[in-house]
Amino acid sequence: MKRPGWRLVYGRVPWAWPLAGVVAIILATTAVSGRGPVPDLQSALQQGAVVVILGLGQLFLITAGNGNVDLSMPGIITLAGFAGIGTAADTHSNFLGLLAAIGVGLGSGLVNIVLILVVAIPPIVGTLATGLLLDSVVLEVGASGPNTPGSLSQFSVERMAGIPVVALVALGVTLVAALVLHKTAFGRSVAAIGQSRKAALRSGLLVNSVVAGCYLISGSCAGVAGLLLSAMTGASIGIGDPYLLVSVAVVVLGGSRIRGGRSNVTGVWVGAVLLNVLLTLFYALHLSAAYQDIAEGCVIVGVLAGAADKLGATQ
Amino acid sequence: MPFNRGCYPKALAALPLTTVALGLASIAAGSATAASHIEPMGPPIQGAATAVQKGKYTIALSDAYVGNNWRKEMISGWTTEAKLAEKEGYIASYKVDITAENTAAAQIAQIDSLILQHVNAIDIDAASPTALNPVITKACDAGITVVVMDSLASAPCEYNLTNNTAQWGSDLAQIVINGLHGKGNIILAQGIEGSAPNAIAVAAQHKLLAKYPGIHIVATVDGEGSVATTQQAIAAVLPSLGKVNGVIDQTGAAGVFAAFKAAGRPLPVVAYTADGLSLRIWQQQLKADPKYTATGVGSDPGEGSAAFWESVLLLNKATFAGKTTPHMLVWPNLFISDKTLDEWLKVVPASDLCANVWTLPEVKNGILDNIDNKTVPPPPVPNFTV
Repeated sequence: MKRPGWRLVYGRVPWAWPLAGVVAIILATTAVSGRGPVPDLQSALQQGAVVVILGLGQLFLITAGNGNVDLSMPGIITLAGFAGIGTAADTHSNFLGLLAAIGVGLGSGLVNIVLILVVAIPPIVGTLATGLLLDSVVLEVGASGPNTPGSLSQFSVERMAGIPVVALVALGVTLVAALVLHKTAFGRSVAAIGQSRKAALRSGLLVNSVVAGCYLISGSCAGVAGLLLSAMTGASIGIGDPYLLVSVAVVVLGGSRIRGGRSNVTGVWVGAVLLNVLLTLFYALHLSAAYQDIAEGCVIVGVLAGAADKLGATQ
Repeated sequence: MPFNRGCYPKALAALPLTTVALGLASIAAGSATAASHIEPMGPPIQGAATAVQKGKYTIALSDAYVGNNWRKEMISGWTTEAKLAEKEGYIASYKVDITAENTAAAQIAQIDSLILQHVNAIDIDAASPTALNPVITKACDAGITVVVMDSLASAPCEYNLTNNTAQWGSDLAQIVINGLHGKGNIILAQGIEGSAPNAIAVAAQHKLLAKYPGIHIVATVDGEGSVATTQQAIAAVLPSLGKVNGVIDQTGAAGVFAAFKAAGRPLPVVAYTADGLSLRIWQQQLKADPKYTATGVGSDPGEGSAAFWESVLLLNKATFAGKTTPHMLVWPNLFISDKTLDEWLKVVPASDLCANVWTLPEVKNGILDNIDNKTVPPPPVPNFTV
């Protein structure tokens, strides 16, 4: 992978290859199943919306580098689902439900911040601990689970001009994330810390405050995603569990540096859609679960390997 | 005195609860429950069991995992009946011994300590199908009666009481087949890939489906026993499929319906699971179409209460029409019909799991039915007052 052409493309548009992959996979699925690409893409957007929002949360942390990542996301998703749906049902206000879900995310973010920045536990362990804590809380409160208000579940499957509404919500979150990451001092500080924590400290950046901000953002994202997911399927214990790996995978697939310092917001979408159309292709090919996991792993490793020289170049 | 019984969350309609031993047990006991009983039957007939004496027994419950609502409901059912038995003098005291580690090592230490405390009987939900055998044998040698329920062990001296996994799997499929009148395209959503209970359930489903040439499996997906994963898997497979009339899955309707709604497709025929969330989705369908008909089925956490009374009967050396209690008792899965839906909705909050309450006379009759190779009828829907 030393050809300058590849480097040029990858440097400027790091999600170009994954996007080409999406197109190839949709064409392959269409050929195998004999059905049009439109339902495939609609389904990928519907399913991908939740993953995009989660991925954007992880993007802030991964961009801040230094091993920052939020493994408490599955717990936040589940608890925020219960809190959000429960509040919406009790108050007949979906907006208050959203606030409750975000509140759970912010609260969990605070716990993460205390564990990581005050107690100085490595993020990978600290956030895992928070996740376990949240799971326990869910088990306690989960015994009196709420009914999803009809308006909320209808909203979650609504479409505008063929585009799932949840995808439009994800788009809104994406625009905000892009603005914050690329156009604000905070966003640039995040990238600076990811590139070199030492340099960021010496240039007077409030490193801990910025990292703390990232945990609050990732918690809020997980809260919003938890509410959307629960609106689709109903709040239930373990609902967030399948989302841990994918929330990180979409960030990496989308061309952001896994060691931090460089983010790519658009790439998160490409990564999320890629994983979804891939799953559809696997089912169309009647691959069993074991082979699906192997194939999915190969795709992730392949993309990482393709980006490897770029990863090394800026170290 | 109302108490908190209920349902466990959808996720485990599948099986975090059962193990290899259960599979073997189901096969061994298959003949006892060959017939499916989708319709609940009438009140149990009075059995010819010996009377139970009041006694100075201490019975302990050993459980190594409390990480899901199923176990919480099982423990709650066991404890409620134990309290009642203590009050009425059937036992002197009871002891609930729980570790949350879900390891065989922790449970072995726990049972060892119960042996030292000279309890008279131990009811176990086993963390391993084999690792507990030596300590169970040790307990039996010390004169302690051991009943293992749900996740079984395999010591020869133990008594077992469990639901029938193969029956549960084929009931899930039968409900969908009946709903489709034997004709249509279905998706088969499996549970936890590679787990023994899933393998048993899916094998039973394939065996049943082979008898219905009008039913075509157009896709097989892996729901991993979780609503969220089922939803993702169904959503992923739908774009590649034509008309789909039914879905056989292990997690109830929530994930399946969400995927079909998001794809803008008419909802398929499903089997509901025996939990509050599923039943409320069923209720919504019924509101939209009063002629809607469905069936719910689930593994019954109430086997905790059944295992408790089995221990009391064993300590009393009760005989049933002259016969002793068999070492393997197959207890029925939990069924919910159009007729009992409303009763269950009243007593089961959303995201709780339905659980039968087994009383002493019902357990006596259930043991008689097992001896006679008959299906044990379900008890009446609990009203949660004791």
